[in-house]
Amino acid sequence: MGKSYEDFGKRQRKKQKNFAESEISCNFAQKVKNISDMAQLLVTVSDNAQLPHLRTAIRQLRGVEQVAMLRKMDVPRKVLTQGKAHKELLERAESLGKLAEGWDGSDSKAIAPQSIRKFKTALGKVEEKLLQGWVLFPDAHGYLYLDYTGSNAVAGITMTGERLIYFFKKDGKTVKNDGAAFTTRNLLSILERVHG
Amino acid sequence: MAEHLPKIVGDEERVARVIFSPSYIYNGRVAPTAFRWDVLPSGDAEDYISVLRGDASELDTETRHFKARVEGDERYGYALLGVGHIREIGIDNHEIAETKVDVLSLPSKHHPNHAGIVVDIAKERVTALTPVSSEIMIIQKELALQCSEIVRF
Repeated sequence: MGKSYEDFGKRQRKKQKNFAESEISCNFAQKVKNISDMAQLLVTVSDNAQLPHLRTAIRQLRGVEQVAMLRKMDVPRKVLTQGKAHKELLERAESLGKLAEGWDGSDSKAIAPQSIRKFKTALGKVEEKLLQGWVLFPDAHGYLYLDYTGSNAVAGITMTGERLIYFFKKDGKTVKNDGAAFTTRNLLSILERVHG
Repeated sequence: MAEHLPKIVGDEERVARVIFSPSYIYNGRVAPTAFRWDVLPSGDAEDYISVLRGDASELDTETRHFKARVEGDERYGYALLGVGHIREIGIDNHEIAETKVDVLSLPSKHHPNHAGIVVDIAKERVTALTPVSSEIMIIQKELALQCSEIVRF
């Protein structure tokens, strides 16, 4: 019974702490608009129990205007800019997804919906600058083909439902792979290596 | 029409690949996948990429026979490639082991000026049944890069 009360107490204190932190974050965000020219110090701690002591200590320093505690979820995430290249590739993928069986002769297959879906998912996680210079084409096997021609590199990525088959030529070297798994991470990695 | 064409396709000749839009050309860029090996309606797998020989006037007449296969796609034009440059593809690509690209005269009843780009990788002739590989993609990309001139219909 005693343990239950103890747990209840802990939960309440935790709720109050979270509420207090949220309030501080909000106030801080509002303040920041007005004091954006002021220097800020970001401190990351591994042990949250030290936070109250740290806050007290920092408050006592001369020149400190305000101390705010941000939880991990309050830290702004990197926002991806999705511009013209992203929009064009997305529209192109949707358009190619409508190609019917036989679009390039009796043996040509419609583009696998899985390829379209995976490509669109990956697109949402790619920075605009990595998409510059890439054009999407259909492949009669039912695959998507991502083609790149740049000033210092050429590349091609065939996207089957499950695999990425690719090559790129850069700085006089050729890299090729016939069987990487079609994951967002792998596609991102290829784009980064071509542009990097 | 093409009786005058020699049996051996000369390095100085140019060959044409018919291009459909928007599937195989987009923002002025020709798709490497436009250079593909077909499986014929008979079920036979081609071991060449179809192209046409001849001068501009012959090609204009000849390519009128080609129609887009699906609604929304249209005949865009034909891309011209130098035969000598095509044959150099295999030589220039040291990274691709034992690759040879050639252009052979393959006249047919309907297309006496028909020719085929043939590709051998590791002494194996690529056909429509050969699985997609990075080596084939490199050859296709090189062919697409050779399309410096595209003649609109």
